[in-house]
Amino acid sequence: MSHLLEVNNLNVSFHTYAGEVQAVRGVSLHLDKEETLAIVGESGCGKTVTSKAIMGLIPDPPGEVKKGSEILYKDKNILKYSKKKWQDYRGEDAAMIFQDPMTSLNPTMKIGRQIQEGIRKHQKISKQEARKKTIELLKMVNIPNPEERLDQYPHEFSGGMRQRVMIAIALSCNPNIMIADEPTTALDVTIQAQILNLLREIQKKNHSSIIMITHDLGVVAGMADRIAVMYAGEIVEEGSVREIFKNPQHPYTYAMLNAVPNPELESKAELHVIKGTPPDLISPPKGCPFASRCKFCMQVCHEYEPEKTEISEGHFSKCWLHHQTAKKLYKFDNVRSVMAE
Amino acid sequence: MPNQKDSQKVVLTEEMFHRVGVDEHSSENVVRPNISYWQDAWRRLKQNKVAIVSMSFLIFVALMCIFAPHIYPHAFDEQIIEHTNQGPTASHIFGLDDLGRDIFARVWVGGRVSLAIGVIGAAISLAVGVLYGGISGYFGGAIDNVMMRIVEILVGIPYMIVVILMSIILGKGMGSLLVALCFTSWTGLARLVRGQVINLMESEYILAAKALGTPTYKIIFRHLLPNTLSIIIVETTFSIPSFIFAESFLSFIGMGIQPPNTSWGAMAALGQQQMSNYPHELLFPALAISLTMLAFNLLGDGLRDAFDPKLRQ
Amino acid sequence: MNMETREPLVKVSHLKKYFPVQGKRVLKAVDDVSFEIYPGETLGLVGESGCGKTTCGRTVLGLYPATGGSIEYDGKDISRLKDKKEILKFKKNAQMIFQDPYASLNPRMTVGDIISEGMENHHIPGGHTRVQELLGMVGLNKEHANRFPHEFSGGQRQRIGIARALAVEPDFIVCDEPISALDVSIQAQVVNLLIRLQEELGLTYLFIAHDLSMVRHISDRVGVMYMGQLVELGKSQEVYNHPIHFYTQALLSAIPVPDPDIERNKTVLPLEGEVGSPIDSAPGCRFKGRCKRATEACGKVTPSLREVEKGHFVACHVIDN
Repeated sequence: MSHLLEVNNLNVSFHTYAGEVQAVRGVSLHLDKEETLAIVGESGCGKTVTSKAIMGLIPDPPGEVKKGSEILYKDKNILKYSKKKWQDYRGEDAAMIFQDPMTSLNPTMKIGRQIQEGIRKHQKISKQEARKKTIELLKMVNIPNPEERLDQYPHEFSGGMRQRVMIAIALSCNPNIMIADEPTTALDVTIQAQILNLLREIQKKNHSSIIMITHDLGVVAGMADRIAVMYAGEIVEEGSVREIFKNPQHPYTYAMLNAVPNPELESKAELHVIKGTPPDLISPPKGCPFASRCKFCMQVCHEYEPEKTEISEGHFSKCWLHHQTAKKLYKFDNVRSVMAE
Repeated sequence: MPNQKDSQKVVLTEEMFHRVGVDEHSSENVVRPNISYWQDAWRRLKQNKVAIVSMSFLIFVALMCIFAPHIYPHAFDEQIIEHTNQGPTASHIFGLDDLGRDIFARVWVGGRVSLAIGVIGAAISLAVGVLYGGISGYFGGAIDNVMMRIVEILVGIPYMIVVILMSIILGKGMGSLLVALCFTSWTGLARLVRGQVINLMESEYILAAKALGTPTYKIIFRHLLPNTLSIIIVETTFSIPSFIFAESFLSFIGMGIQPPNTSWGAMAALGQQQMSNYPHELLFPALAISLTMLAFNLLGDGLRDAFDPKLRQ
Repeated sequence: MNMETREPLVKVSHLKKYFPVQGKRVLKAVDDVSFEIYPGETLGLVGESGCGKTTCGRTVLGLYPATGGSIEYDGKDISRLKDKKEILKFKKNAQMIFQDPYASLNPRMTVGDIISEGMENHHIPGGHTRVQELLGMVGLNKEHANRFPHEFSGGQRQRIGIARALAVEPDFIVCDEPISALDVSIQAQVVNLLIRLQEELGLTYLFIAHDLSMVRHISDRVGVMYMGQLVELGKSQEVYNHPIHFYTQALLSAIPVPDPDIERNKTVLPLEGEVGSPIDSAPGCRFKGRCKRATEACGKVTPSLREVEKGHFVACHVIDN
């Protein structure tokens, strides 16, 4: 069965004065129709770079999508697209919603024009037609009085409103894939709830797929069908949302889930913490990237990259704890029980 | 992934699965080389070939102005009447002017004056501008208002009027020229510094310094100034060629350096009279002015890029 | 902990902070806020952007001059202090940790200089050794003293900021959104550090944040702010488990919970519209425009905090009835 979007062995590096930063290392994932995939991880893990690669927005130089990487959209390798094909792809097939609505909109251009620009680039329609479509889009994202607000500038909108405009721009050409890069991080909690609701509605209506990039596990729990957990440029675990939350099989995933304060915990109890910081990707460690911070680190973890183990259908984890030798040695059959020690 | 194939071939012994635990100390390590802001800027400047060439050129010009007149066999005011207006030859590298004086020697002697005015003028502008702008920006409110209104008035005065006034009061020559030029030139830097200071005052680290009880003068010298330095350096690098040009222009129209002293502008004035017959007399001083100005501007561009934090990789 | 018999370390009464905006208009960032903080406790202050919590924190520390009301520290009114020596003494006792780890450290100074700046101001002895001690206290290495802020990650920079505040040996620290800009696992590191330091050094915190779950975890009591006013105040567990003010209820229901079963099945209390403008706000309850239970009376008089249950205060006319 072929997927709507398939990323195979993606490697992206950036060439800096201090050396080559391997931002994305061998990432493979897939996205199907009408599903929401969440890419979760902390800053520097490579999730934004991955999404930019899918949009063809990696600047070259200093960035470089390495040979051997493959991104298949409807079975066509888009990494081989010409500039023109990329421009068609962006907007019609995939669109991005950026993080900070303050800086992603042109402050000197009216909102209406920014939306219409996108539309008219992809479709040969008249100005009046485009204007009509724009008003429809603004209505779709629940912006009141769209006919008037069309002629306003970004600074006349609040943060939540601006994000809705961003979503309208992304939607303008009915893309099959919406990539939302931390779309609500800069917004207040109550506005965030509104925006996430909106995204869900739109997805249902348009039968589109969403790739949601975030570090907020609560947002993921509400939005995602599947989750890919990234750390230091690699995907360390992936699975359905229920599997990941209820049955995490990687020490990093487990640690992340426990770093969020649990209402059951007594007040001021020590939060489960992962000591240290992620490795510098200029000299990525040769073994598992999480080794230097992992409670269960074994000798082999420093030496070799762990193999990808299938836990159950669709649930994968890259960790030496799943190797039969480890299981035999430590006499457990479920990695989770080890982590709960 | 690099190791995948290898690990499949390698036999994984039980020993390798022994627990090792976390090395807390190394997990906090900072890997990249310790590099300060200035070192980083210098490194970036070095990569800019144009800026380095400009800088080398300027150093060359400065050295020539200082040493050439001592080494070169001909003096700048020595007249060889028989060969007036002679073109460039082996012994008179740039030729002679209409009074038979060696142009090569005069270019470097004149250069001393032009460069000196450029550098001294820029230095005075810097001192006054930074102080004025810093105070205005730091204190804000009414003080800032008054100070900026004064600046606006000064900027409105055409500098030719100032130059003429000064030459009447102080007589012509290098001193009055400097006073006239500096009279309003510092305003540009003052505004820049003020803008930057106002910007910085919003920074959280300034707020932190106030919370720590740091006295005002320390805030200015330890926090505000070092973060303004890059702007000051760039602006000063650009202001030197303005001074050089202003001096050249004024000397060209006779308001600046008077004979027997000479400057590039003065030489250009003389050369211009002989332009149709003996172009070399205009060419060399004109080249000196334009190339020097160009070099300063290119260096300034390079410095600005080197200091720009957004261009950091 | 019998709070009634102890004296509060910080007592804020009817605090007002207004900013002039465009001529005659006034932005009422903090409008009649009162609360007390007892020694050794953490008071959390939550609210969304524009509610005034950061302004409140900075005004309490004297970084902004108060427009009205008073701030008492250890029994002394510090909001009207004129004596330079007294002001300096207060700055030694009360410190701040800032939100943005990328903007709160001077990029041109080494970490060692940043930390020792406060020590110099207050003539605290110890020099290098003490700087290294402080670095160790926050979990960093001694060698880091010679490095520059840009070489560190967000979490490490935040810890440098904490070391800087600790250097002057304060009793009271205002933590202004110290973890908002950090990743989740780093947030846990910093919060644990703050809690541990509170125990070891007997610190009192005013913890300002918009991350409600983290605030609940670290605070003993919590106050909810909306458009410059306190709408609810009480023990953390109380406020989170039994929120009374409608805004608090809506706010809490909107927090995404990292549990798919809960998150996908919960109902978020809808809060229509946007936050109003704090410029020239009308009299009456600020929340009126978005409140489902608003009545006529709500538009006339601003409700003040009233004790609805023991230790649990709410500012709402509708509740009172």
